[in-house]
Amino acid sequence: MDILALILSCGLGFGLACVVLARTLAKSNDVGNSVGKYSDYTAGINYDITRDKLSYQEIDVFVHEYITAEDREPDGRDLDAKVERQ
Amino acid sequence: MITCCKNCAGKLVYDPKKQMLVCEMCGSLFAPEEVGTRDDGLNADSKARSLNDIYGTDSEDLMDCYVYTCNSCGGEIIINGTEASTKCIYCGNSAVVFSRITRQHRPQGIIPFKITKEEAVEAVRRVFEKGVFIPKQVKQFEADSVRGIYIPYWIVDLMHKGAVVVSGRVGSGKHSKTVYYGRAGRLKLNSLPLDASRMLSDESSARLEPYDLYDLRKFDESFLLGFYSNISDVTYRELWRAASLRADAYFDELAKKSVHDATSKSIHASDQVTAIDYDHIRYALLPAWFITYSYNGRHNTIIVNGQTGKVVCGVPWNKKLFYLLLVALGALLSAAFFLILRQIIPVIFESRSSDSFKAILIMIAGSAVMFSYGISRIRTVINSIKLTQASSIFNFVKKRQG
Repeated sequence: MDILALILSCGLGFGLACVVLARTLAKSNDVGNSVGKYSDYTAGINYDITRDKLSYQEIDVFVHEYITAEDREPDGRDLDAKVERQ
Repeated sequence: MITCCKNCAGKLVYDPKKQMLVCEMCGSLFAPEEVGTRDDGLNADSKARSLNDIYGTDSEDLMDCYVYTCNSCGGEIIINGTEASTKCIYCGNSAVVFSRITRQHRPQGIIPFKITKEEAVEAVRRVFEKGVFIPKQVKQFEADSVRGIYIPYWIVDLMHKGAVVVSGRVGSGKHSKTVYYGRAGRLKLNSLPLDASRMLSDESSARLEPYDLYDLRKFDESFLLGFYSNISDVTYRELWRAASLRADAYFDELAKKSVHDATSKSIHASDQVTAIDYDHIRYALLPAWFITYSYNGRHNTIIVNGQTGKVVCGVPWNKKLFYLLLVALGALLSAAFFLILRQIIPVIFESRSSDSFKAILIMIAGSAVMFSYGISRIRTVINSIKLTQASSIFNFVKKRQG
């Protein structure tokens, strides 16, 4: 019983220590770890469809029926050309 | 264009503090617009020529470099194909290589430097001072070089369409279940800055944000005096890919945010498409300080946003101290958990019900999950630190002269 308690407590103890020290390391040495927020560039999303409680079978249809072939149509631009000012 | 003082022919450099061009010899001040559009005729014959033109060879071994004759000392500067301005390696004159800025590549806007070199170094020292795991030698770093570089950006407007399914847990305990939420709609992003230089990784440049684009001014070569700059070398495909990645991330984030009654939310499935409004993209140069220093024989680079002073870098960490603290804290927490579990486990076993077996299984699973989560957190942080120590950043600087 003591062995089980020891194994479990080591998992919890060292796991928690890793989480705490990872956070401290990030704060200390990963300087400026943030990118521009969406609020800097947009006023928000306009939702055309919102569905709560989709069944598992409905997921595929929901995801793949919204975007049309027209949306994916290339604009005729040579994608491998260097971007130039318009 | 003149790069010399009208009064004494001294070298002119742009002063971020004064927001003016300053003569290094006599201290005269000039507004960038005042000198930026004048042509002194000295450059008429100094158009950039490729090595193939000069040496008459098409050899693929030769790098596509360009020769520029300094308009101050007459020395020849060889620069790489993506450099728009540089300093003369012989006399240090801020010779703006405007012959490389053709009509296609001339930026439309520029945010001039607001942070001086000294302020950038000071900002870094302040950040380093607070770092628990930053070695003492790094805290007292001596910069090998501090270079102000204008990074090219494409500022784009785009329309993003997406359909995503967010999965989340609803309820608690035995009654908790996974629920799927569908969100489909359009996201318009305005003035999204995308780094236009292949030399600098997108991850590093994105961390320099936000830039306040209200400070964007009409491009004038005078702003480049005293600084380095690069010009755009990305393709439409690369620009679109960078825009898509950013838009996908924002769309996912907003979709998850729109689901209020669930926890542990994640994107289960998604289909998204991005369309950049190419008619309104703007080409701009945004400022950053690149500070390099050596630690344990390795070069490290710190980037500082030249407008806001935001510091971006992965700093070498004191591994000995980190692992020592990890072992000490882990042992201490394990001992505390052991004292608690030692009391609880016998009670659970004594009850001999099916629930007690489940409770033990949950405890074992909880322990394993906590341990693997902790390890993955450390890995994530270390990888993030490595990201801004990547050689790509240093290459951006080391290829420059000076």
